[in-house]
Amino acid sequence: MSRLSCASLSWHQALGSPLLVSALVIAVFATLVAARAIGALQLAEHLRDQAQLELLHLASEQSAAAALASGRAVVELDAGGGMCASANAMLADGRIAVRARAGQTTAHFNCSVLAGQTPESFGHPLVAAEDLGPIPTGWPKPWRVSRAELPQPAVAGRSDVQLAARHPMLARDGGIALLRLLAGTDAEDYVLGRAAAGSEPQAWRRGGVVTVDGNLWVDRGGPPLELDLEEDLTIVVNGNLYLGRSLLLSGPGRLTLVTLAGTRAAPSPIEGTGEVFVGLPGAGLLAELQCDATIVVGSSLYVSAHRIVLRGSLVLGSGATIAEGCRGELDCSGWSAPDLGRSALPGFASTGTPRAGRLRPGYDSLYLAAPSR
Amino acid sequence: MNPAAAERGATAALLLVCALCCLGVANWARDLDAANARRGEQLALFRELLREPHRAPPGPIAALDGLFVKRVVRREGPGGPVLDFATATGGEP
Repeated sequence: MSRLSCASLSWHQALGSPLLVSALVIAVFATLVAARAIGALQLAEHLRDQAQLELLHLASEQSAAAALASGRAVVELDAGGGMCASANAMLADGRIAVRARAGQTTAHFNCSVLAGQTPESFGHPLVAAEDLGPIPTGWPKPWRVSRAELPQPAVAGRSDVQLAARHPMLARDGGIALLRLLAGTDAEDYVLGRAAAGSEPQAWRRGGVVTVDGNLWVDRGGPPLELDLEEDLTIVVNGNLYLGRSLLLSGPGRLTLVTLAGTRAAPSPIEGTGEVFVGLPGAGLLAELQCDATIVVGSSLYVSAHRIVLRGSLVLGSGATIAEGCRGELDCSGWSAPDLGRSALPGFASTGTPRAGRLRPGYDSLYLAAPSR
Repeated sequence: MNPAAAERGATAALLLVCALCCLGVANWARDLDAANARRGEQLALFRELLREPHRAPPGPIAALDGLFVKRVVRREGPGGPVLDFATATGGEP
């Protein structure tokens, strides 16, 4: 009998043996079970580490809140089962620096001290004066407030206000109004950041308040304008606002666009008296315009886009007009409660009590001057 | 007794024991997977409530029981509601 015949006979005998087959099956089953058990144990370990990290965040938040009252605070948290975290916070020069530790992890956070919070109106998707007429059909039900309660910028007398004429992201353009409008405008025209094709979102490191003494344009054509805001920015426009294409944000900062009403003789695109144009007048209808900002309309809103998506609130001082043949759908979300409660919108008077702002990761120089514990 | 038969019997018994052990481990792994899933959901909720503590009910937060050994509670701090851990007696700190 040949060797091959012997081997095939052995395999045949093996596969015919119930015990051997059972052993093979159990071996495979055991391997799968062991792999699953190891995976579950690793995931449990990972979740424990994540819980420890959240404990560190909680200790940091508590210490920051306590430091606001006493200048310096140490918080130690014990969640049981060997999970502990501690945080040391220090208040100086309107900022709070936190050094926190949990297990083998050490982290630094910092935040500013806020005089209060963002006006509550900005938590509602749509805000309108109580004496304003009907809202366009299909729009969210507005939060009605008196005219005195409509959020108003408070920039008079501030030394930190930046002027559009000197701001690197605003370019004066004497010809844009003649190109885009039938009769041009009387006021100065400023264009917000010009994004080249394929370029990175333009980074504005510094937030704060910028005033535009004239009209502000987001010109039409090309990809959406992208801005990378590190901090909250409010642009106060003493004229009209023209949104010709989508405006998108990246980064943690929020953008608020405000137009001031009634600063010139009569409302008109030429005079520039606080109107907001979503879609440029006479340029046809846009399919959709997305704007990652809150818009406070001092005067009237004119809509030439079938759909508007706002990642913020829309505040109406006067009415809204939808262009003929335009659906004018509105999708706005307002800001979430934590964004209101732990932030102060630049350029607006804050409400409520002083508080610690939102903690952000980062080493603060406060600890460079402090003696080590 | 035939030695070969005894050997086969012992082998079969051993395989049966191995199979039962594997079954036990598989059940334990399934329970641990379920516990991990629950813990993952609780962690996500904890993160949300850490960001928005006003959304938590006042007092002990039952939905977070088991995430930590101690019970998570919502209490009022100087700047508004905050999360904390219950004391050993079960009350708020």
